[in-house]
Amino acid sequence: MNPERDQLRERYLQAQLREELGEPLDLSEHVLRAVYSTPQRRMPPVPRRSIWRPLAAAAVVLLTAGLTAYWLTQVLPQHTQRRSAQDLTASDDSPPTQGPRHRDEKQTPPVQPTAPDDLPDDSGEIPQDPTREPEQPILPSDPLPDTPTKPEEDTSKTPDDTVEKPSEPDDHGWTDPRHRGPDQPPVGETAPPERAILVAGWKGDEIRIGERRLKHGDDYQIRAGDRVRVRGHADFTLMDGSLLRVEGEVSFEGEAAEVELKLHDGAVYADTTAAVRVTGHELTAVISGVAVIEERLRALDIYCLKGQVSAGEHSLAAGVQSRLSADGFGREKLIQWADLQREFKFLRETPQRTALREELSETPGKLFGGEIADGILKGEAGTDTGLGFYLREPYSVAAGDVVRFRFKVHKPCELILQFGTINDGNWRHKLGGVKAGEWIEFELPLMQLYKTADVSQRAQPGLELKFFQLHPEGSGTVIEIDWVEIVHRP
Amino acid sequence: MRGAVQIEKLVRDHQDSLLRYLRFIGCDEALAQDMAQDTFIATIRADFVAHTRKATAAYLRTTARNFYFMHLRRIKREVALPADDILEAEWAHLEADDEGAARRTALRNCLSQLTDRARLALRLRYGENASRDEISFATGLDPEGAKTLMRRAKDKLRECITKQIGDA
Repeated sequence: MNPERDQLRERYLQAQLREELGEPLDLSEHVLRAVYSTPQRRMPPVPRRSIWRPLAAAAVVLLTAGLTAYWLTQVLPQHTQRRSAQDLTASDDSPPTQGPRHRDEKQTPPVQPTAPDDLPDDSGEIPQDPTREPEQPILPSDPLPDTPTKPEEDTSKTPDDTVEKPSEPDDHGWTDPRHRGPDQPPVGETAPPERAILVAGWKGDEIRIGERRLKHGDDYQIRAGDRVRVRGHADFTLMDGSLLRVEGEVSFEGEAAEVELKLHDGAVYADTTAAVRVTGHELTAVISGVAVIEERLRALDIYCLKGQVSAGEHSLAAGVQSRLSADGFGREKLIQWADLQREFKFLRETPQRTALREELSETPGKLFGGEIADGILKGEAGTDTGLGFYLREPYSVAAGDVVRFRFKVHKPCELILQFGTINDGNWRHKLGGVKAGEWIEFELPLMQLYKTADVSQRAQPGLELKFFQLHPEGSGTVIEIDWVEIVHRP
Repeated sequence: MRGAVQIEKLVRDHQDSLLRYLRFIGCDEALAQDMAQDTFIATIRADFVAHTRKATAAYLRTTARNFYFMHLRRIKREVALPADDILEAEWAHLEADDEGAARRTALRNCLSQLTDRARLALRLRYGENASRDEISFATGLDPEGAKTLMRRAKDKLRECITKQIGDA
């Protein structure tokens, strides 16, 4: 092979790897800044210093020094005089009160070292301070005044305290549901059964509903009225198949066919099959498509990726971001999915809505040869006879759809993945060099299918798929299919 | 001059392909980003108007290539580059008519067939610009072993992509 060409192909592969494995780049900010900046930008202007700032600082220093001098010469002598007089009377009457008084002294220790220097005239008073200083070893016992008093109260109040304790764990820093605790019991006990179930399933590390902490797999049905706090982020699949990925805290409201999400804190990503209302700060946005909404100070930041997001009479188109406030939508900015993945950590792992899934634990529709056993469709397939099945109902392809399936072949071969459609013939993709004897998970954006009868035609949104099929090229082989799914990605 | 939204759209539509091209002709990562930025700025200031995406991409590529040559001249470095027509022909072949989308999908599928260790090594090298020592530490191999691991992984990828694309 031509070495020049080899080198170019090697570089191309490396470029692809950088693109695939590296952080997504966006040069638009840099370019915009460069285009709109003046030529002088190369010489950064010398930062201007305001003239009043040093003057103000000097004034503050002088004022502080003056006040300190005044306090040391005028106030402190009188204060120490008064206190020594009080001490004299106190020592006669009530020695037990010394404890608290020492605590008062502790509040002025920083001044004590300077006091002797500044009080040359009060010859009668000065010796008193040094005499009191030896008492300072008592200071280490300062923590004691707290502990002795408390135990005394404890012993007298033990029964009361033990009763009160159960209500105290809220003070351990768990700030969020602090006052909700006592109000929550209705969730589990007196929850009205007519509250609609809104979530078919969820996936995530941990969520909290009131006082309940749920791990993935815990049995709980999220219903209208449930307020959910998410640890990290969690995916919620609504009854109609819409996907919500939540970071923060939300309440689920409404009906299964018309879900309303109250965003208390954080952000939500929604990939909807029916309109979902999201409210926050008394603002409401309706998502019909794919969008991210982030809660802001008296506003919602809205990023619309597909479809549209409407608020009142106005709407935001796909690929546009804007801030929704009481005044309506603000300035619009173009966005892409890569921008959102950069912006939101909870979207780094691409969310995917399962639009169709066949586990093949039962016959979905008519089979193309083979048979289903133990959740696997298995059969001999030749060049003319593929292995596959009819979908339960036609599936309409949308932009962003990806077919994923798990399969195994018994002989190495090249495979043809083929979808049949209702009105547009068959569409296919070739999988080269398939290894034998290994379960392989394969995925392909449906837009990369090409028409069987005309390879120059690529699949478009709107195709109505009716069957899924795999067949080998060349010689026949046994094929096993574990599952097939179509997921939708932003 | 174009408005901010048009500029943003131009950059976002073409930046991936342009960066890929600059890497393809031999720019390292930092230089590719600088050259791409200069290319966009020059194109915008020249008020270039193209009616098709393909024509814009071709214009950007030519400008970027010229910037790269100017850069090489400035730093007095001799780099043997294939002739323009060879470069363009190879680029057109690799990108096909979908701007390399089919190859990217194939790459993604092929990456998933590599061992975890090979994938980790490639991610560190191309995703995080890690040094060979860092890669060797992360993979538990000596530096030479890490290099071999990456070379083999790339060979496998090349082979797998070729099979998937049905490329010669």
